[in-house]
Amino acid sequence: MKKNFLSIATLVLVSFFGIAHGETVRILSSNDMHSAIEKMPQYAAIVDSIRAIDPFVLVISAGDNRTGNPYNDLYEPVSYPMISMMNLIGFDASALGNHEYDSKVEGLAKVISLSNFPYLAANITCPPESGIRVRPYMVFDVKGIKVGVLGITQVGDNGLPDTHPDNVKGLSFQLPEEVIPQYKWLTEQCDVNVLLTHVGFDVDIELAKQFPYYDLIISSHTHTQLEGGEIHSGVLITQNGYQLPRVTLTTLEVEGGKVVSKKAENIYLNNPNRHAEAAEALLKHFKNSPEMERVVGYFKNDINGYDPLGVMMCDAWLEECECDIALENYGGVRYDYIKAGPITVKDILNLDPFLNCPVVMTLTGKELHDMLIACFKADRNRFPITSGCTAVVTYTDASKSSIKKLELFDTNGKKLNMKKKYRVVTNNYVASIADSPRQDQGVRGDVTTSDLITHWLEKKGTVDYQGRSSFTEKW
Amino acid sequence: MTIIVNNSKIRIFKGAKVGDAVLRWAVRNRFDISQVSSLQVTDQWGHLLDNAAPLKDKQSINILYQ
Repeated sequence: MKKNFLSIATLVLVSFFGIAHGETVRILSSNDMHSAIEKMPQYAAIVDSIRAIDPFVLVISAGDNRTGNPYNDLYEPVSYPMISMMNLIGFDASALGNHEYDSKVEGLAKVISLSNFPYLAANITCPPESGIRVRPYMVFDVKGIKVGVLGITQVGDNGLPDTHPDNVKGLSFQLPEEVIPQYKWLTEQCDVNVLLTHVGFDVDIELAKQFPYYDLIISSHTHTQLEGGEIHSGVLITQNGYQLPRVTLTTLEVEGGKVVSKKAENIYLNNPNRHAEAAEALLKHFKNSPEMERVVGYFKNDINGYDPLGVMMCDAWLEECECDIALENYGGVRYDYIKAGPITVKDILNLDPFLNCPVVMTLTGKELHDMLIACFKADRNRFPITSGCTAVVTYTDASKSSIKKLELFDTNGKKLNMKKKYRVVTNNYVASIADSPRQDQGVRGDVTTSDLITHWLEKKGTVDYQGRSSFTEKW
Repeated sequence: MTIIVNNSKIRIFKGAKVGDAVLRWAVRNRFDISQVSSLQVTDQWGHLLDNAAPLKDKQSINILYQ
């Protein structure tokens, strides 16, 4: 604990007393925190330590503060645990990451209204009725030094951020390279110029080439693990992994209205014992979230075995994604017994705990047949569970290590047409491991498969899956 | 979309993350998929990436064996 504190203190003190003239601007930045609420008490302690030496340090996030932990993402209001921790720490600004849009325009408007710091994005236009208040830039006065920070949000090939298009309905976006030149005037008025981007390390290298008059790009989106920072075209670029393995302390020496030297160093968040007490208390509060105990449905009877619970999961995915057929690897079902009675959000997260996402694809009957066999092989010779079709699996022998024949039947008991096309949903794990030839590889959805089950159960109320199975085995 | 993993093309679903491409690569190369978490993945410049990192069409990544 002491060692960790001393290393931070030494880091700051060395640069503090090392300056003969001018001023020092310090920026503590993080990116892609993705709901890492468990790391925030450590982050708070580091900020406290640095502020004790330099109270003017700017604390900045490059976006994707949310999505990645049900304790944050299922909280109502959504993402409030993360926001309240960022408020407690005293963040000065955040970029808008593509995952900030995951709870649609209304959700983002609420998140922003709860935040005590501004969100910066110069390449987004939000109509007043959206309720979203975003600033293009901020100018911070750091000991008389003007630090201009211009925000840029991610825009994909379709002209929208990487989220479901419904999540950004009514908002419009411009490409970074079209917008940044419009703020050249800002860079002429500031002593230190920072691009706070959520576009990815590769794009940031290009931005550095095009706009070398920036001193620093606080980068994010690609979860790139840099050793401190890298200079590209004279611009210092920083980025620091995913879910707060480290944070970046950037030190800029300013003389005569210009940055004369700059460096970035990583500070590790690997000592849970060194935490800020207030943030730790908040974390404990949020980890006891009543949302986890919320009842979403009921089982009419006890359920024994992986098969019935797997069939229920597949039914939920199939209906929620409006598909003909759903499939799940056998190993993806993590409960084999649930007692009759209420089912909570926590039960669903234990049943489907991997934060997988649905992948929807169009397959012919033959492609589905081959995909099921490929899934069987990759999932340690366990046949997958399905909905929308049933299977008769004939193995070569009792060891069940090899499939001799696979017959598929539709919900009416008729043989599945091998030439007909079906809309099929599975999860990203199965879509990855089932390496069979298929024309359509599919598209990954933006929700988790456990969320699909929760929403489906909320609509169904009471369900009964006792004794259900989707395949029979012979040899 | 297509991802280039260790100089080999892999066709995978749109929106795939680094972890998805690593799994596909592991199955194709008969690498034990229960051990994929031990693999290190880097971008074209050699920076470490995690499994949740997003991928773009035609992006190159490298898997390092321990």
